[in-house]
Parts: sequence; structure tokens; C-alpha cells
Amino acid sequence: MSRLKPIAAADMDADQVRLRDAIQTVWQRSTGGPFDQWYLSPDMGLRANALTEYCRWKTKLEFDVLETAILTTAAHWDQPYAWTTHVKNGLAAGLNQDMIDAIKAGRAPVFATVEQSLAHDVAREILETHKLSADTYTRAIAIFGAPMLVDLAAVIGWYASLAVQMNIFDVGAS
Amino acid sequence: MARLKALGPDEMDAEQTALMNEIANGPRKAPMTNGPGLGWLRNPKAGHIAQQMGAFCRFGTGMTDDVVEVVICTTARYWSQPYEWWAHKRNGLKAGVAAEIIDAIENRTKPKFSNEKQEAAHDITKEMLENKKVSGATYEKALKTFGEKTLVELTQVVGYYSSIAIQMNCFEVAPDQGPNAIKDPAFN
Repeated sequence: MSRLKPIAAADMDADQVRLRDAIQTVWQRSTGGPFDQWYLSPDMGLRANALTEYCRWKTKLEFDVLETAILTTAAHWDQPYAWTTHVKNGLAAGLNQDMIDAIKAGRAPVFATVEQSLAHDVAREILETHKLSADTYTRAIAIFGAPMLVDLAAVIGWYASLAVQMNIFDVGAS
Repeated sequence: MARLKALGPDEMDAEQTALMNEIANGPRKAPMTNGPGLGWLRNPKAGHIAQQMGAFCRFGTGMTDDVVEVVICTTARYWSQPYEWWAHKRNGLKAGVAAEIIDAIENRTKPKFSNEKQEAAHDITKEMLENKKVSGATYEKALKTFGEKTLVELTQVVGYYSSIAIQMNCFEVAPDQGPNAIKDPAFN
């Protein structure tokens, strides 16, 4: 049970309706997960929605690599909504259940591609140690290149931000 | 020396120049050639979206500037991010946060606050980042102090500045004076 009560559609003011329409356009739904918090501050919510849309749909990363980074981030923060949502997305993008179970348990997953493996290494290392070792950085920049590695760092960062916000308000599994 | 090189004006294409102009013409009133701008320039579309959230966190929340800067300094300390620490220590002092409080945050000791909003903001930020969740008592105190709307905005500041710290630590972004702008930096 979230610490915030969702705002009913009938109680929304014009700014909240504008935010609801923007969320609906991107996600084909407008409540639950990170969204309910945003209605308290619609101007903030529009900006958060744009960042989430970018990270989920518009980066240069393949979806299996993206979902590996998001799942590793959700597991680090122990965020139930992000976890359950992205387990579905990860499976749909081609990750398998063994990989997902290993990410959750903090074991070394057996990935199918070097990109998946690197995305997992980068996410775990930056979240747990707050830095990237020279070895991990050198491998990541060689495989991804700077623009894609910037995207990967942005995805890990923004999904950490979503997880922090949802954990403060005790947002549970979908 | 960051892992990403700063770009001079004649090294930028039209989209990169537009992003720097957008930042310079916004509430920050200056371009951002170091710091988060280093990453944003590699990807101006994402940079545009991110800097809009940054501007909201700095200038658009229901918190006063001193409280915002306590949240950002506490976040920068958690991630041990030298650029974020350097920039927001300066902003915090300018916004009226006592030097002893900034020093205590940097030294990871308990600051002695005389302002209950700064204290509630500091406590929920630190607890969230260190424990990955927030106790009922800390949440209720923050809720009573800020109300729902401003508390949501506070959590966004913690999250956004965490996201920027993560990105800058990946690329070892530091201020001109180097990573030791913060004690015990994430990288050196």
C-alpha cells in the first residue's frame, strides 16, 4: 500500500489532466508505479515523464541491454514495482529466467551477449562502489562508444531516481 | 581529468550549440561546459530533457534554496561525487546553509541543525540513500514538515541529483581543482 493516495480523475485540475494525457500518450495508461507521485507536482511530472520516455524508448541501446541495466538497478534498490514491470519487459526483450533470477540474487548471470554482460557490470559497479574501475570503463567504452555509454549511465541514473522516489512512498509490485 | 573531453564552441554542431544556449539562457544564466554538460553534449536530445528536470529541481520546487542545497549536498556526499559536491557546497553556503553543517555532511557526522526543514530534508535523504527505504517516523516527520507536494519534489531532487552523480562518476567528472574537492571522492 503506497503512502500516497492516488488522485481520482474527477478531482484533477487542468495541470493534472494535462499530465495525465501526456502519460497516457506514452504508456497507454496513466496511474500506478511512478506516475501517482507525479500528479502532486504536474510541472515536475511532465519533465519526469519525458525523461522516463527517453530512457525506456529512445536511447541507442538495444532493448535486451536496456532491460538488463534497468533490472540490475531495480534489484539494487529492491524496488518491487520496477522489478516486476521490467521482469516482463526483460523476458519480452529476450532475457531468460535464469539471467533474471541471477540478477535478483546478486549472482553472476550467464548472459547471451557481451553487451548484456557489460551493462550488468557497469550498473552493479557504479551502484555498489559509486565508480567504474578502469577495466570496466575501458571495456564499456570499447564496446558501446561514448554516446551509447552516456545513454547507459543515464538509464541507470534515471531508473535509480525512479526507484528512490517509489521507495520513499512505498510503491509496491504491479 | 574526466574521461570525456570538454568541447570548445568551434567543436560543437548546431544541436550541441543549441543545448548550451538553452542552458545559458535559462535560470542558471551560464553555459555548462564541465559537470553534467560533458555527458549531455554527447547526446543533446537527452541533455535537453535532463537539463529541464535539473532546472526544475534547482528553481521550481516548493523548498527554499537552503533546503534544496542541503538535499543536494547530502546526495552528492552519498555518491562521493566531486563536481556535484563542489558546485552545491558553494550554492549551499550562498543560500545560507551554515559552514559547520556543510562540513558535517562532508565528514559524514551528524549536523547540528537549527532549522527543522533543513534537518528533516537531510534525514530523509540520507536514510533513503543509505537504507534504500525510509522508516515510518522519518517519513511522517518529512510529510509534516513539507506536505505531500513539496515532499514529492524533495524525493525528485534526491533522485535527479543521484542520477547526475551516477553519470558523472561513470565518466570521472570533477571540478577544475580535481576530485579532492570532496573528502574521500568516489575516484581519484
